Amino acid sequence: MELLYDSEQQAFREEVRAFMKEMAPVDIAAKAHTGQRYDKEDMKRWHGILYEQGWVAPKWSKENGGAGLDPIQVHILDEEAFAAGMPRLQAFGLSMVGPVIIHFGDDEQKSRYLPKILSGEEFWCQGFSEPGSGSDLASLKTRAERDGDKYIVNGQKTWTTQAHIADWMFCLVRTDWDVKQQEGISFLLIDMTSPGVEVRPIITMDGEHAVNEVFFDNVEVPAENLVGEENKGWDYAKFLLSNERTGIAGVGQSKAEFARLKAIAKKEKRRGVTLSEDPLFRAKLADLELKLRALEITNLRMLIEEKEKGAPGPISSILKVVGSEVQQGIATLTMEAVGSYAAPFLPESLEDSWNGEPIGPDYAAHAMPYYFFRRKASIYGGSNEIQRNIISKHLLGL
Amino acid sequence: MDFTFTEEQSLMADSLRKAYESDYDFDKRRAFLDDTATFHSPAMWQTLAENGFVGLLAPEEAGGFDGGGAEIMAVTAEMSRHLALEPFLATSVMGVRLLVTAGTDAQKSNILPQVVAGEANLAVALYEPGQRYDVAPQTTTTKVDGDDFVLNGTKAVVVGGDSARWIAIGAKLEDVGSAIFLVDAGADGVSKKPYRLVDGRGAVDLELSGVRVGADARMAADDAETALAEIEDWAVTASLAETLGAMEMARDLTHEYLQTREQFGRPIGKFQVLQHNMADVFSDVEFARSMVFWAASEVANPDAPTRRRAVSGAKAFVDNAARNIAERCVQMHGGVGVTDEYALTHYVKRLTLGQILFGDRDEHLLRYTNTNA
Repeated sequence: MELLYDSEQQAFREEVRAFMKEMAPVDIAAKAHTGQRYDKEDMKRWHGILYEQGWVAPKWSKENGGAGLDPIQVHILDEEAFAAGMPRLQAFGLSMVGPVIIHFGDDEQKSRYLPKILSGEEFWCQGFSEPGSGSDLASLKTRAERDGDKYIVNGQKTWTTQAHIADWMFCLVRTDWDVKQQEGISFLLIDMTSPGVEVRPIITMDGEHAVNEVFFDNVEVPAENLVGEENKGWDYAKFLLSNERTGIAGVGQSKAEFARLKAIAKKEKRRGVTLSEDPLFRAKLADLELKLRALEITNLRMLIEEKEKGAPGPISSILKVVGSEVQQGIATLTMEAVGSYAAPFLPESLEDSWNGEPIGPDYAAHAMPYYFFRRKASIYGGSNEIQRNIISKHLLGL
Repeated sequence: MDFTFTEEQSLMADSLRKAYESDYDFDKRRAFLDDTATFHSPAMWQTLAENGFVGLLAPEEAGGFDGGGAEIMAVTAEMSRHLALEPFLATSVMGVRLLVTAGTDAQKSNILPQVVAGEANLAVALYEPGQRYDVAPQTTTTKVDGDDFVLNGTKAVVVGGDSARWIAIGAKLEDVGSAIFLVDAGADGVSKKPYRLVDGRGAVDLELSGVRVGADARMAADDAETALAEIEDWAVTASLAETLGAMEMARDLTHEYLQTREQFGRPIGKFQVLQHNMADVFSDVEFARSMVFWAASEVANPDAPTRRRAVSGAKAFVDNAARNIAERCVQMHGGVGVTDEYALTHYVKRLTLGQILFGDRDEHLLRYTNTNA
């Protein structure tokens, strides 16, 4: 048993840390300290820097243009990037559709899409959920009907994160109505500029426009945009989800956010004593820190297993459940630490375009929207109820 | 023992409900929410004044209703069910109560009738930046200059300060002790930074630089901390009743959603995990209601430790229930539960605000513990 990183891994961490120190843009990092929102330009700039370094797709094989890092190295890179205050890279291309195209796409699709995912030239969004199909995703109704060398798509997607800034959508569509639900779904790549695609914003309670409804009205999609075989889309979607399982714990991001919470607790006082010295608050911080530590070690155990045996399967659902609880716990304690100054609601002050006066300490405006934002963590990507169903069905045979 | 409202109290809640139902549906409210000039509906505020609600706690001779904790509970819970944005908490609960208990005769006879008529609003500044939930003035000071007092300092998150004509401000006196001054919000040296609270109501941060007031502005409280602590307990009690109203609505919206939303070919309310969650929400609301009764029945108790024990005990308990209810109701809705266009979100915002205004759960647990000696 050895809980410490070995010397090779330590050396890699030093290399990554030195890179971050030199290359992470100071203005983007500054946003992390106050919880300002990263905009598309921030994400593109950071994407470009990692691209130049060859680390933008750490898991992809070198032949596909990736870094070919092992799961532990990927984790180290993730931790150090968050510690440096950098935004999460757009996952829809790099972590979701990219691997699907690599495994199931044809050569033309690989050469058409992969380079622009790597370079960051094209942004992607995910067309999975529909108004009537959330947890019950396989019941989706958006239909694609074959018409010569194209599909005609009609229907609606919802909760589509970043659809308003995306160039492409990978979309689950129904292509067969006469079979078991899961066996009539196909995986289609849709150009967001196609006539008949309409994106409408959904404003969430944190005041942010990140998710959207997307409507398809007789949208023509070339048949060559079908990935793999018709009616096998459900298999590809399952592959996509299992492929992204190990990142699901969010350890790197939670460690960075917990560090910021502790910094706030050193500044805020109750009865003349900082919260970091206040017994009641210290106990809550300690509870949360231990949960995060348990998550971190469990995640590392699964990463080692992944390195040795491949994707870990349904056990990663326990990481999703506890990972989301840790994320929510940090946001909740951050709100508590800020106190009364979490009550003013100025989400617009988190945007670059804002030029008003701040209310309270510079970390205050972020606290309440962040608490609301994190409510989503136990809902998206398969709600925690669904994760627990997976655990009880697939691991416990119940 | 009686846990029902009197006929009169019920009639008040009914007439409020009718007023809000006719002029204040969810879409109309959004217009008030977007109005950066007032953050509320001045027309509705007038309606409330004309029907005697603004002066709920004022004595009858000032045109008031001479009400107490039970009336506050009935009225604020009902207003909260409609997500009311009007400055009732700031003016009618905190401001009027302070005028009644600590106003000079002149302040009562000059100002109270204007307030009761809805012509002049009040706010009470409880906190200062960096002092968390301590109502004792620390950084706000006053100097005597001839017959006048000159005030300097800052106040944080003054609820209702955006529409207040008069703001009560605690300040340290030059030599020893503290006092409360009723300051004209438009006086020279008063600068207000107005903003919206998370539930849409207005508040301000206040900066006082060389604000000169006459001796007649000084209120009749022996010291600021004791008087403001009592006002804070009234604010907590009203806020708890608001929380109760919002809990009931969140519960009802979720209950309905469980019966209408279908996944896997049946209403999601048929899934046991959601049934049990819903059962816990139902139960939490009832236990919270019991604790709001406790606070409301003791808030006017002249024995300060008894009052504080009930109010802080209720706050610590109800905050916990409010968080559980808000988070479970969002979770049971899924994505819909975090969208701004759906009413649940706005009840959740109020439930969350209630947890950090006027002392959070930790603060009130400590206060409760301190009364337990």
